[in-house]
Parts: sequence; structure tokens; C-alpha cells
Amino acid sequence: MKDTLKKIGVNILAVTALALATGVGSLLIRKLELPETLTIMLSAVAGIVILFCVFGAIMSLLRRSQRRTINNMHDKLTHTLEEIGQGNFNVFVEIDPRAPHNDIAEAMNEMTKKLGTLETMRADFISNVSHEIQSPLTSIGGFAKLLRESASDEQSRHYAGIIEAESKRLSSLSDNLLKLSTLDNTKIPLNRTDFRLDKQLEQIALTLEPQWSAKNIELSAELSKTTINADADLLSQVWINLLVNAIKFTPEGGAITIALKDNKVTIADTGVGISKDDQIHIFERFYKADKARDRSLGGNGLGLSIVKKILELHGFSITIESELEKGTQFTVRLS
Amino acid sequence: MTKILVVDDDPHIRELVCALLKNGGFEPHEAVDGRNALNIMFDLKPDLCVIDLMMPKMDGYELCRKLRQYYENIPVLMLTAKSELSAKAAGFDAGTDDYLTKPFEGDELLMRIRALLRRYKIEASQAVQIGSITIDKTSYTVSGAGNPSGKDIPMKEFELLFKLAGSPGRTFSRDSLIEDIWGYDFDGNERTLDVHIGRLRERFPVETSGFKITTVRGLGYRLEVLS
Repeated sequence: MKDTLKKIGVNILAVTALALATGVGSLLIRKLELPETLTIMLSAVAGIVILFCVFGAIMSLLRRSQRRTINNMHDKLTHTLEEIGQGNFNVFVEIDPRAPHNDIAEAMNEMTKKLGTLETMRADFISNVSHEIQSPLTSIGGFAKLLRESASDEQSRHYAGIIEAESKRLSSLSDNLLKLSTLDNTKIPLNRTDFRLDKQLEQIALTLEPQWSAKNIELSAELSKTTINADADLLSQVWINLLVNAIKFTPEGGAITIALKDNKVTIADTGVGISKDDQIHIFERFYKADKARDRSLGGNGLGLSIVKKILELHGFSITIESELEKGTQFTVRLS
Repeated sequence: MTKILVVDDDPHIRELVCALLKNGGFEPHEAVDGRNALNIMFDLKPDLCVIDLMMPKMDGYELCRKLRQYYENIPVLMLTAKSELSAKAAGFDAGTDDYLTKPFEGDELLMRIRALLRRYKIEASQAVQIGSITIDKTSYTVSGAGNPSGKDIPMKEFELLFKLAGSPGRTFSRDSLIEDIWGYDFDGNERTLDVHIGRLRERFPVETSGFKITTVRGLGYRLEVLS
């Protein structure tokens, strides 16, 4: 600040001197026939007037530029605060030596750095919890299956089968709960990018091929070229959950169709269907349309809640049409 | 017998994977961490490695990079409880061939191991046997009962057949087939692929060849072996 003021002061002096010199000079050149005292007085007055003008102009310029630096800093700080509010801790306020409130900017940079570490710690924690739960469940389920296949009496096979099924259920429950807890944390921003939705759907359908072809399900797709802006990882979770559900509830030899047209994705199956009474509840957490069947299939009533939550975060919507024993169709509107 | 090295610091999971592999007809060997695995590798010379990610001393990523550095042509399958996409991407960056998350289905593990071994074998021999024919890429010939005349088939048809036969039962998307066989900059007719598939079907009728090429509507094509 001091340096700038000094520089401006020097400038003012130089301009004033120049103004005085030209004023006096021009008056002398003209050599008007006025009394000498009057000439001197006039030139002095002219000099002073010019001096004031120049001084005023410079001051107003100076103040404007100062206001601009303050405004700039203000904008930068509010923008950063908004980003932090949305959960983006990867922000940094550049320090401007001419602007005021640099102490605030520095404190804010320090704070976002710490918040960022905290967020990484939280994500690591979730990942570790998941790892610690899934590892023993892998052993329990895996050995139960080996037991079931090698046991000689019917009862042991039955018991081992229960252990196997329940460990699978527990594993997918833990998986889904961790996903939901991450989604419920509104502080985490969507990682939006532009990508080809038709390619994503195609790739997911092909990844799940071992599951649908094992049940002899005829899968067909009609995907028109579509680019959308969304969180690709989260959206792929939506398609996986919907498709896995469709495969789960469609009997051997059934059919599943996936269509993408006019920013609308439909996934239809020829499965068991969902009754009208159940349709209003299926997006609720822990709701199962067919409790007995769902238990035997290892569901936990969270898959569709995750779908709904992810679509809500994007501002997209999902509807269901279904008839018992005929089939179910989910329609996702991406606009 | 095919030797498989199982690297995991969890003794129970190691035992489980080894039991599954033994049941599947493989010869399993164990290592407790990355460093231990590298020590064993030299003398054992396994045909495939199944490795965990989170291990003390040397983790799975590091081990995978080292394997890629010191050993050519060793198939690697990562078997881990880390299901996040970022972990998966890091695994493929480190050079793994496949990635399976815990808990896994024993059958799926065996299926993937067999598919990997098959892929490496085809890559090494450049030949694939399917139904009643053998497709040899070193000489671009198709031999066997399914092709009694032994007639050469056009290059693009050959490559298409070789690709589909390399992974029977797996559907390839139209785009991936076009890219692999005609190249990224292919701007010909979309129908070219269907025309070539049609010719292959004519050339190798199901009754004599023992396989068929199925259309998966809207997705792509897959080759199925009839048993």
C-alpha cells in the first residue's frame, strides 16, 4: 500500500510541475499587454486550477482501482466460501499483496486444507470399514459353500446353505449402507462430466452378461446416441441396480429390454411384477415387495433407495409401471 | 497341472481360494505378501497369479508392477475387497488382467481364471480351437472337419472369427468389433459388420462347425459352442 501511494505522489508532483510550466510558458509567449502583476497572478491561478484538476483525477482513479481490488478480493472470498459450502475443499484463494483482508484469505486457505484432509480421512475410513467387513464374510460364505457341496447328509447341507445365503445378505447390506451413508452426506459434490450414456448402458449390459445368460434371459437393447452431463460412477450404479433387480426377478427364459431415447431410459422385464399397493413403497429404505422371495434372493431393500437417491441428486426422476406376473418397467427421465 | 500362486495376507481367504482352485483342477501355491510372492516366483514359475491388494510389506499394486517388470506373459488376477472404481482403475493401471471383488463366487473365480489362461494361450500360440475347426493366425488358415476344403477365407472375416472364437459365450459390442477389425477411423457402412457375420454363418454352418454366431439385438454378437 505505502509503495503505491508513494509512486502516485511522485506522479502527481511531476504532472503539477509540467502543468505549471506550460501555463506560465503559454502566458509568457502570448505577451498580452496586461500589467505584470496581473499576468503573474493569472498564471498562478491557472497553475493552481490545473493542479487541482489533475490531483482530483488521480485521486478518483486511485480510489476506483482500490475499490476494484477490494471487490475482487470480496468476490474471490465469497466464491471460495460457496465452493466450501458445496463440499469442494479443493479451493485456494490467491493472495493479492495490494488487496486488503489477506489475513482472511490466508486463514481460509489453511481451513480448506484441513477440511480436505478430514474428507479424505472420512472416505478412507468408509473404505477400510468395508474392507474389514467383506474379508471375513468372504471366508464365511466361501467355506459354507464348500461345506454345502461336500457334506453327506441333507441337514448339514441345509444349514451350510443358510450360512452361505445369510453371509451374502450381510455383505450386500454393508455395501449398500456404506453407499447410502456416502450419498446422504450432502457435502459431497457430484463429479459431473459429459459422457456417452448409450456406451455406458451397453458396457453395463455386457458386464452383467454372465448373470443374464446363466438364466437364459434374452436381453435386447435399443440405444440411441446420447451424451449427458452427470456423475458417471453414480449413474452406473443406477443401471447396475435396476438391471440386477430385473435379472433377479425374471424367471428362466424371460426377456429384458433396455431402451434409450429422447433422454429417457426404460428397463423392462417379463418378471414377477410388483402389485399396485407395493409400487408406492418400493423406493423406501428396507422395503421389500415380496418378503419371502426377497429373503431367498438375498435382497435387503436398499437397492432402489440408492437408485432414487442418486437420481434425486442429479435432478432426474424415476417411475414404475408393473403388473403382477406380467413384468415391470422402470422409466428414468434424464431432464 | 496348471500352477497358480495365491497371494493374500488373510490365512482363511488363502485357504479358501486354494481349496476352490484344487476343486477346479488346479495346483495352488501360497504366498503371504508381495515380497514373499516375488521370492517364490523364481523357482515356482506359476502359470497365473491371484493377488490381494491390501497386504503388509508389499501391496498388490506394487507386486503387480514388479511382476510386469520381471516376468513376461504371466496372467494376473486381482482379488480384493476394495470395490471402489478408483481402486479398480488403479489395479488396471498397475497392469492386472482382471479384477474380482470379495466376496466372490467360487465358480466365477474359476471361470475367470480359465478365460485368462485361455487368452494367454491363444496369444502365445496365435491359434484357437473352436467346435470342429482350428483357426491359426500365424498362417491365416482355418483347418479341421468344419472346413474340409481348407479354403482360405478373406482377411477381415478371418480376424472377426478369430476375435469371436477367442472368447466364446461373450458378447462383443458392435463398436468394439468394428474398432478392432476395421480400425478407429473406419467410416464405412454400419452394415459392413453384419455382412461379414452373414458370410461367416454361411461358411460355417452350425451342423458341421459345431458353433454358431448369435445376434444380441442392439448390443452385438457372440459365438456359442454347441455341446
